[in-house]
Amino acid sequence: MTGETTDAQSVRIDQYPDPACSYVIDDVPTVTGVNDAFATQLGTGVEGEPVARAFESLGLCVRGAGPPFAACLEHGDTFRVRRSPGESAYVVQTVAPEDGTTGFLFFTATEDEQSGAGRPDTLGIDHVASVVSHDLRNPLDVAKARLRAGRELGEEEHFEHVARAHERMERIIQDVLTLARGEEVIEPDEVVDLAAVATAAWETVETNGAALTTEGDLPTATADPGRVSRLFENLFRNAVEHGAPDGDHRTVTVTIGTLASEADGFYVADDGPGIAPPDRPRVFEPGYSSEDHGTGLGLAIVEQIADLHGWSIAATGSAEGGARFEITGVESP
Amino acid sequence: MGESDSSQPRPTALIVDDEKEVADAYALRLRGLCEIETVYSGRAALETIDDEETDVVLLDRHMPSMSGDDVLAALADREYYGRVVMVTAIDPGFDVLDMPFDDYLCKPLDREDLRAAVRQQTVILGYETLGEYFSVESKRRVIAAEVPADERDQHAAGKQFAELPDGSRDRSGGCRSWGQPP
Repeated sequence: MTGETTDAQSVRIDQYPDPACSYVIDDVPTVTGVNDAFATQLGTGVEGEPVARAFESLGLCVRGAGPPFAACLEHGDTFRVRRSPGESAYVVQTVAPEDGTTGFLFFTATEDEQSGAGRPDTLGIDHVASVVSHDLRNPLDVAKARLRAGRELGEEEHFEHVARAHERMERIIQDVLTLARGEEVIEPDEVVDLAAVATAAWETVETNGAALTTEGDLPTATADPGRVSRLFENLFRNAVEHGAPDGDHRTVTVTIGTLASEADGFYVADDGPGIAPPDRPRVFEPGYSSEDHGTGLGLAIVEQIADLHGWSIAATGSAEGGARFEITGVESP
Repeated sequence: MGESDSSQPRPTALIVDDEKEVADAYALRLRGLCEIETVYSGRAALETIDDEETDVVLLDRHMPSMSGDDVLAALADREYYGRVVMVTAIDPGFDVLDMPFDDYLCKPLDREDLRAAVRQQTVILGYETLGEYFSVESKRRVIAAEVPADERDQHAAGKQFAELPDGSRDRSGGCRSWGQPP
């Protein structure tokens, strides 16, 4: 970045047109100054605060994982933040401090947010086309085959398969709408028992013999039960599919529970191979999927649903070395 | 659907799709046409092909862990004798130019199209096998006719030709039945 021998102190952040702040690493990264754009767009009164706490008080959520954020500040990297739900999002370029000098964070609003045209993850037409063409084709094919068999052979069971295929198509459509339209299709206005919703959601997922365990009591929340059910389904499906890679016949154990920390929320964890730390922030991106046979939208939908409820989600690691998703900011009614 | 003579070996089709519902629906569509095996992963497909005689493989492309493209490459490495039909929801791009499959079907399909594709591949395989059979058979004949028996027995390859491999005989029998409409 600052390859020349420029004295880092001489970098004037007020010359930067977008939000920027300086920080030093003194035990923990601590904010030392902000520029005008930062004060107007993001807020004031954070000088002297640890960066993590400053972000929290300004309502900035780091997208994706927790640990890489700290690593970013130390080593200099790019990460993304968002003021949830549905507000401005920024790409943040870090200039890490060297040998006790000052580091900088330069914010750049992402295009979608600037124009107000939609969320940063709003699906491109390309992705919609590929979801529709790829993902609807399988259930459509199943429905066609079963309908014909049902008609010709007069066996009831085939119609069951048709019904299931139709349900799946409906789910795909709903998913695409959730991502594309967000607020319009979500109604977080019911008191929801998260444990009950999670258990019911587990039943609908093809779990390949995987087991679900619950640790502690899950909170209740004001939420849209249908969408929260989808959030659990997608997390469970993710755990089952990635928890036991093909050829590995082990049984996956999925654990849900309440977060021990003061942040209100819950987690969904598995004991599979986990997600490599560098990949963690990316798993929520639409179309990010090394392998699931679905849309590659599963976790993007999870993040979107969490966002629309005003919750934050982060991918971390479980005690068993598997993947763990933590949903925070869940307020009990 | 007239079942073909059960004494004749019927061709075997292996359906590979990570979605069980899809694989089972395809099995349903092929009912009565051939012997059907279904597996739900690329790795299981290779295991089945290694263990059992498999004439036609219906292969999904997009599968977790081991994709259809990977399976196809592995089959090419093994010099797999059978025919491979890609059945997929992915519209083909230029990448298919270098892929060693025999047919490419896009989902969703009609039953007729699927059955026609499998039938066509079994007929082609039948002729291929028949060609192999005649080639081996003609060598056997010429050796039987021209080389004295005692010389023949001293020569390993000569002996092998005299005793025509069973597999070749079996499959040439099979190919006659595959040519018939089911």
